[in-house]
Amino acid sequence: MKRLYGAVAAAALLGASGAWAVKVGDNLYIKAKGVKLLKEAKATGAPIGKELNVGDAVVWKGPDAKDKTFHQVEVGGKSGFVLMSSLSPNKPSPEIPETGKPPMDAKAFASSGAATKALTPAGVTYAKDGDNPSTTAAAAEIIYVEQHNIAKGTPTAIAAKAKELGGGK
Amino acid sequence: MKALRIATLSLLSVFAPGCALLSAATSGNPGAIKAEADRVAALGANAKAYAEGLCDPMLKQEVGFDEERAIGGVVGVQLISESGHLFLEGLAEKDPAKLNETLAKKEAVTLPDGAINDLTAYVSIVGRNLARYSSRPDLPWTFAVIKNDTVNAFSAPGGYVVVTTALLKKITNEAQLAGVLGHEIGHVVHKHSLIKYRDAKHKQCIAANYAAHLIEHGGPNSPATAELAKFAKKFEGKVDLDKEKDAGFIKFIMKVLIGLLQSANDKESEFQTDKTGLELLVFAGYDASEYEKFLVSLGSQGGGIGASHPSTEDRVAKLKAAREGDLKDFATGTAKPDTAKAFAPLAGSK
Repeated sequence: MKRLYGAVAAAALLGASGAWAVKVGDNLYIKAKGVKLLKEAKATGAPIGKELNVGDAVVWKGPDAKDKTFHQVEVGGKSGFVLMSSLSPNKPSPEIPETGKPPMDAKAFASSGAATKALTPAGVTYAKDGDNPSTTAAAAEIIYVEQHNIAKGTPTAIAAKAKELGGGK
Repeated sequence: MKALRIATLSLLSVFAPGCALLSAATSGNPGAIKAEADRVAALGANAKAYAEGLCDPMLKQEVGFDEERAIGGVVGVQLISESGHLFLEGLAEKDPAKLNETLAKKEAVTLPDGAINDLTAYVSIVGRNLARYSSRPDLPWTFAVIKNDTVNAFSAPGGYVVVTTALLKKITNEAQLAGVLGHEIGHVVHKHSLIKYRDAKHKQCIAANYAAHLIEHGGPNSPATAELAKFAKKFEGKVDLDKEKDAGFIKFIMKVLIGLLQSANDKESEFQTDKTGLELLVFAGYDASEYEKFLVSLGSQGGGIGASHPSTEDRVAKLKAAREGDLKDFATGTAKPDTAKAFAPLAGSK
């Protein structure tokens, strides 16, 4: 068993926290595909308007008085309910695909194939320099674990996890 | 700090064996000594101005995702090679270059089914679900478990998150695991290590171009100066670490980066990270109080006069205040699934 690498790791779990708030009237963002805006705060509620998708902004009106897993939101002039687990306080941010290039919006980045990017040639070059067996092994392990994440952390598996936790997608 | 480092480099160069100033000094001619010292000082000032002019724009340029993922991979290689092996089984091919060739041919690189690999799959699903609530939901998030007896977790740019087997053994339910992963996702989302990479790249750009300018203009040319100068051209135009094939150059950057990564994040960075981690935990529907319980179970860390990190007690108090205050309308989740089955393979590991 090797010592965990220095203070890089030691720093990781240490942190601070502070106060912030989402206020009624603030935007929240849809974090899944095909989220229904419901007339009532229940899963069997009638859908209103078109389905909402990842990154769509909604105006938060507050949790339902009876079932706090549902929150009231407004979008496109319509008011309704969605499961809280379908909401995020974070808007998907634009990403700069390549240094020096302009940013692309989150939707374009999502469909760019970046999510399946494997360990880069730089990582392999660095690992194999000097025939160091421990860095070579680490690089191989990273490639395996990247591919394992892609194979097992599928959208279907993630949606099932989200449903298990909060009922959302 | 930058000026001090440059001054140190300059002095090292100036007093290298065989340099003109040393020759002047040994001549015993005070006029010659002063003239040579003035010449070298002027060269140093010019070199500094040249290097800063070339390299300072780098500090304003955001690092693109390709480069971010590249440096994340390099950092991952370094951290994992120094810390142990990933908790995986059935790795048929040990050569990363061959594995990448396989992927380039659109062929799969897979691990066999089994409880050990299922553990990583489980951590990945928990982590990837959390990441969907972040502002960077579509990174190639990669979650891994490393065999190591230190209770800890770390992240690297581009979406790499690693937890130790020792940490998993301390965790009693999935909400606690999610708290740890959420915190690490926060570091990646806020690009804390990536900013340190940009600083490392800038420092090495200055060093290389300062040295190159000195040599080019007849300044002292020691082996150390020449060693720095050989990388100067790498900084002309865009530094594209994503496609870098010169391991020496990657190491040149890494030498400074590792030092920066080993320094703790400042309190403001940690504040951001905990904020993000708690948000992810809460919106995913977990019982967020479980993360506070987990931190308490680790005992006191940090704090004290001059400490860059707050104490565990302060952290827990602030997390609790946020959960019961500003986030009370959202922190209603009660999920804390059992981890016993997923973590069963840990029983046989160190």
